[in-house]
Amino acid sequence: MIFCFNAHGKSAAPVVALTLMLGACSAPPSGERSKFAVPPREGFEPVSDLLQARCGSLDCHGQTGRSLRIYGTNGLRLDSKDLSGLDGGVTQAAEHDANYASVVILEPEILDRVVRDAGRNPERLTLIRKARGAEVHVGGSASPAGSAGDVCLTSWLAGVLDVAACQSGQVFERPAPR
Amino acid sequence: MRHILALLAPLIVAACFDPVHSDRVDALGPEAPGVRRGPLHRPGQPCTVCHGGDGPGSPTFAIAGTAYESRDSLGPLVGGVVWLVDEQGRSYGMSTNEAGNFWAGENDFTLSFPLFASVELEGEVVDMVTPIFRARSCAECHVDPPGPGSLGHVFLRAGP
Repeated sequence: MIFCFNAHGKSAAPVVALTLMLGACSAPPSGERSKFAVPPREGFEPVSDLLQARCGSLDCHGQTGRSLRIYGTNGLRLDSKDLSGLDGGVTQAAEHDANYASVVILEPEILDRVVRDAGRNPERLTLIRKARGAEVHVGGSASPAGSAGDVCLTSWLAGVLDVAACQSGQVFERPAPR
Repeated sequence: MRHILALLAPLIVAACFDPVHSDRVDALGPEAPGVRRGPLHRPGQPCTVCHGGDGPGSPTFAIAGTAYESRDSLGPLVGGVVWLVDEQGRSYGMSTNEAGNFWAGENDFTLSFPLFASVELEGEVVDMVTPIFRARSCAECHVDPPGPGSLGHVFLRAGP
């Protein structure tokens, strides 16, 4: 309960109560929720691992202030007892869950349409456009169109996940210096 | 005319003042006692907060950081080299000084992310596990103590 007092020291509780009542009258009926189509959580781990590798470093989306927040063993950890970059570390199931939530809540209405269209025109999603470099993105083209990372994401949206693409998309070939 | 200048002056001042940047600089605190402002100062701090082109540090660095000998101590890596390689194979080496500090001037190396880093001392080389995607200061990610959101300082050897 919040009590407010005006400049004269008189309680403004009646005003607060009235405001709360008016707000309650305009709220949706209790229990009613909007339903959005989303890709399945089951089998998301390869996509989560790709997002970690391509997007989830501590200087990018491995930060708590990000709307697309990615957790993983080499980046941001969900459990305060886990260390980032720990040798032999494993991304925890809860971190995969958090990564899934991060992705599906970004643009739920648009994701709904993409999923209902079997993944067609995935560039409707900002996630895809930025990963491809088709929209201004400080991180550049993390997964250019047609790359393994792009195939991983778009196949997941289409409901036919290409696990091999997700696995190869995580790999960065260290270039030989010239 | 004076009225116009009086109206514009606050806008001009506001345009020149970046409170976010100013807060980041202030958060670094004062110089360590006995250490002069210069190449040996502020080891382990994010160099490009001040040397990133927005001041107050000079010169401007393209990328910079501090390297230590081991994960378990803060002994600086002296006389080592930190190598950067971009996807086209262009490489650049930066020597570490007596404080472990190293840097590339803004015109020394054209950054093209992602970058792949290595630390070397007398032939002993350790590669950074993941690429660098945008950070220009190692200490943006490599902050002590290690934790869920920080990697701990840059080091050559895992052991003492």
